Amino acid sequence: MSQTFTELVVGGVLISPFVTYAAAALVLFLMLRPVLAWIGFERLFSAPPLALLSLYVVILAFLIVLL
Amino acid sequence: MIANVEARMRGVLSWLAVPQFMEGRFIGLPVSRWLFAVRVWLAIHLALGVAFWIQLDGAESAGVIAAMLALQTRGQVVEKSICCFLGTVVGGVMSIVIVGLFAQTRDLYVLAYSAWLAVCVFAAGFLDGNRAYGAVVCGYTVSIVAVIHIDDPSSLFSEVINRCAAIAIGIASIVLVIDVLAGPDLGPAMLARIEGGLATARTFTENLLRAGPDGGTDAQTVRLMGAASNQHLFLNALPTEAVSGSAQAGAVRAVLAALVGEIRAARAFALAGAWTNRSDGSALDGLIRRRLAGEVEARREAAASAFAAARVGRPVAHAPRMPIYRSRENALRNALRAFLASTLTGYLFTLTGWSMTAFAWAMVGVIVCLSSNAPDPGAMTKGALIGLPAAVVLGGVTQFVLLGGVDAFPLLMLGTAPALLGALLVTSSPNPALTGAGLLTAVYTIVVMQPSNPQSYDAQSYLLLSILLILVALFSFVLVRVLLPTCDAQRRRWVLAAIRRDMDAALGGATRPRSADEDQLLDASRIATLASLKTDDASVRETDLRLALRMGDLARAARRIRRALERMEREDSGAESRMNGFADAVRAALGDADARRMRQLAGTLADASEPARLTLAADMAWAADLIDAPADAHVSGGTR
Repeated sequence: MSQTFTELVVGGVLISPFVTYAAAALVLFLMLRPVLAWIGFERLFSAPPLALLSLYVVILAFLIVLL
Repeated sequence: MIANVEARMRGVLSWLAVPQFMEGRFIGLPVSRWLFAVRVWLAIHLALGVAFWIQLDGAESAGVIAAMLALQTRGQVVEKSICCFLGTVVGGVMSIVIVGLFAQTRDLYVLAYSAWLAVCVFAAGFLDGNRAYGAVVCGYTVSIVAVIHIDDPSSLFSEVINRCAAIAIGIASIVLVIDVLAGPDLGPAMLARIEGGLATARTFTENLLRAGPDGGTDAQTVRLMGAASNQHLFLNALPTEAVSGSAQAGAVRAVLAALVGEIRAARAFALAGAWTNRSDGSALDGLIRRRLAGEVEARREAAASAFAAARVGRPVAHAPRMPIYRSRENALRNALRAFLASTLTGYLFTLTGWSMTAFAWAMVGVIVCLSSNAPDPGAMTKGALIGLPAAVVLGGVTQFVLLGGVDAFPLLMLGTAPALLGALLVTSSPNPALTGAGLLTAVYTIVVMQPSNPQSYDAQSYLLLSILLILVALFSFVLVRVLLPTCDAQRRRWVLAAIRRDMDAALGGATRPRSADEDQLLDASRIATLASLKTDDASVRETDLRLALRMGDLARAARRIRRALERMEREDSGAESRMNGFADAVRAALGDADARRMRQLAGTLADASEPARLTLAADMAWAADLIDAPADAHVSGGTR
């Protein structure tokens, strides 16, 4: 059974569901930032920006698969 | 030690026997500037590629935004991106409001659009760095979305959505490229600068403590304070760069506040030793010098402790904010200039009846908004006078000579490389004038080429666009110079007036919602602004700086006295407390700037056993000395 994606409709303009997922992933990522700072997330990786980017992609992928 | 991606790349390339490429210079320019240019060039084409792939209308905006967000460090790029996106959303909403209300009335449309530009420029006058840029984006988004499509108001909503989508794609592209290609981080460079500043300040204050007024000059004092204050341009970007960035930024602000406090206290110590106008003689003299020497030591310890916290990204308690000096008068003049420039240009282009003048009118609005965000609007429009014609030439050569009819995206990328890489190399110059001109050249080269899918090679359209852009550069250059120009003499008067108002407020007891550290940083910002203004007469500049330092010292002393009195009144509670009468007398003497009375009252506390009262006595005596100080009192580095 294929997953149905709900399109975002703003004033009659259809916006791709991916935009909704990306925005939601960004919100979740920002909420996670204090936790990441507390556990010292950046000290675990040699390239912290890439690690944070990868974490964002993982959150986005989870939202697309699970929702 | 954590190795970063660039260090690993360096290691790999050295194994491939090309170490000379990654270190030093390439074709006479530092490799870091080449890497910056290549990163941004890749980001521009990634944005364009994605915009073409999803068939976005106005796809060139994505590339333009990627170019506009070209900054050296990751944190600054992310911060500017956030400000740009938020500004675009606000600007988009205002576009709908303005067009919805005034689309049918030409004159009100012009006035409403010009008024909105003025409001945004006025708001930008109170912000700094990328936040001011965000305020400016609120204004010129209306230019790009509403004014350019003034003849088709029904398409406005889809234009707003397309613009927001293009902005998002441009932002995602530049952030992705800078993350993947390991763009330099702001944090380590800032910490290295601050460590150097701490060492320089330590040497300077040691010299003042040892040699008195001969140990340093006011110019050195101002230079160090200015260097500390100017870090505010970078501090706002630290929280966006790393998850520990907020804590690190707070710790850095605490370091800067302690640094400024150490420099001011050391200078005061040096001056206190040179002034001999006290009627009380040596008792208060010794108290003042011990108090100031103790403050220098306390500030050094605070700076070292905060710096250790900044290194590891640990939060500090009571981290100060970093208020900056902004002139209301300057912001108002900039706003009025933007209003008049936009209104005059709009009516003038309407009278010509030429086609595509809405584009030129919008671009004048963009340039005037961006110029108001620059420290010197005239210099910025001079950069536009160089950059826009250069973009016209580069865009034409790229489109009609290098590309010459090709349609494949990879060939488009390669064809734009000489023009864009060249402009971006100029953008990365340490010379601010070249940076502005280079950025405008890069951005407007993309505008001139109008990348699309399929690529258009319409010579007539190129010619019309080129003429309009050159007119835009000329109009902006003339309008900014003619309409309400602001000279450095006016700015100097405004800064001195602001410092005097602050001193009067401190003496008069007006309460401000700022801590002592925040007052220090704001005062340093004012001094740095005053020092940056040019004057033909160097002696006028020196006199103004001396006066500003003295008024700042007096304001600081007055606030310390009032805080100490409040603390003592709280501790020494009781209706018949002797402290109440004493405190009222001190406040009255402060309000009247009565130095003799202040010294008398300080003398009554000079023999107290409590450290807090001795400190208060020292502050009161020092305030009295500042009130009576000779007009030419300064640290002179050996000259008198």
